[in-house]
Amino acid sequence: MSSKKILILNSNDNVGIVISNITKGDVIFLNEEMISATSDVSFGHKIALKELPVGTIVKKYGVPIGVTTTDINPGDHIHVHNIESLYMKQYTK
Amino acid sequence: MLKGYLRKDGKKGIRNYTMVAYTVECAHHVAREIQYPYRESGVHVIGFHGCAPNDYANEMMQALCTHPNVGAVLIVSLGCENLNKEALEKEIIATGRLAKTITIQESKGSRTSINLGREWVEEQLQVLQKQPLVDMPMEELIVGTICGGSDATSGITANPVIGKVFDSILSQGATAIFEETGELIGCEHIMAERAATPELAKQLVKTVDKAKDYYMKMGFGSFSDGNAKGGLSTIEEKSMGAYSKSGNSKINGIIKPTIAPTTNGLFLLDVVPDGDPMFGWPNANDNAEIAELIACGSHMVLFSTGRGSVVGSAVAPVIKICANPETYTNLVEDMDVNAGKILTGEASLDDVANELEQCVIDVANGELSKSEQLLHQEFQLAYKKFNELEPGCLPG
Repeated sequence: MSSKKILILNSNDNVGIVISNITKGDVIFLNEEMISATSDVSFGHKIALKELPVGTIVKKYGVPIGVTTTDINPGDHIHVHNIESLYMKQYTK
Repeated sequence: MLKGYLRKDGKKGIRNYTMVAYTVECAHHVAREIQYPYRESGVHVIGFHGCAPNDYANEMMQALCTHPNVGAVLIVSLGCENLNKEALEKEIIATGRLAKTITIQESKGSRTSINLGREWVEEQLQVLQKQPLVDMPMEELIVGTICGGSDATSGITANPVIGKVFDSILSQGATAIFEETGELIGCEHIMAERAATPELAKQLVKTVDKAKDYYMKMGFGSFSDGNAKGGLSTIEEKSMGAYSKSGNSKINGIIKPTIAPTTNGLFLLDVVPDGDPMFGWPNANDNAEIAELIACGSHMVLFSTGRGSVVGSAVAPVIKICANPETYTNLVEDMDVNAGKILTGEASLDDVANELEQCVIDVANGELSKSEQLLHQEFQLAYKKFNELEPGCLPG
């Protein structure tokens, strides 16, 4: 049932959206491959589907949503700690 | 065929509300006291807090007091403020509506003003009650949309559902308005491909660029800590989700607050002020944008929320579409439609779009939305400054 843990909105995306809370070590089956979550990732957050070296454009909905600020491994949680906007910084507490 | 109230200016409303409109914060308490006994009878309070003059505030008050959902307006003034209450009253009367101004400084004071106001409101309610409903074709309906308290579910459930309903009602001849150019940053080029004319395509990109420059000067994008907790990482990620509310239809024009669409079709409302930042953030909160959607003629507003907003609005009904299944469970009292069902597999996007479209028709025909039932009548109007629309923004 692990495949139902994420949603991939567009075939060009390099991230999936977590639709059921993921625990570190959970295995997620993609079409022909599988990835293993490297940390807990909560509902609504994103997880890397492949290796994304620093400077890679992150794609969701098939369009750029930011750029990686560090090297990212498949199964890593993708969020404000490792990607940033291509446009402007934003406020977080 | 929908049912509505025909106004003397030829427009039709889906509600027959009375406004108590204060013209400076100093008159707010008296206005609220006048309204209180009638707050469940379609009497709403709107107003402007500022004393210093502002064209935008004057225009917003005029647009809202002559909105098709409004049948009568009581203006409550302190007496020395700068909002142009004389022009406001004149404009309301010119559109054939019932209007009166109470000036507190000339009425013995607060208590007498409250009593006079309640007497007048009571009389108008009797008059408005007798007004018959008339047929209102879909072509005369204007629907606005906003998202607030977004999370990662907003862009994959509730917002695409609203987009589908927009496509459907637009195909039936209705008019639809989407907004918040600061939350379209990153979508400008794909949005421009949907423009009705090449001139409009350029203006769509320019409008989003203006928003980007404005927010850059303010230091941050339109992105809250709650957005990040909900899984959104960047403004452009949030934007893509917000953009999906606009559906796939052709974009017919760009409007600014208080400018009504000049034809049927889909319009982008540019809410970001022109020029350098002067009065602060483009919009302090969602209700400021809702008031602007309504001031452009929206009969109702479709509000998508993932984190869970509970607001409604004065002047026009707000329908809340909850994107997140967990939030829906937590806020079931406030949500009209559960789009979270899409994520739990209980319904498809099309199922929920059909449910929302039926809800739009029911609310247009007088059924109360959840926020109306709960007497959510929030209203926010701040200082702003806009230039005229540039050529190419409006059709024709």
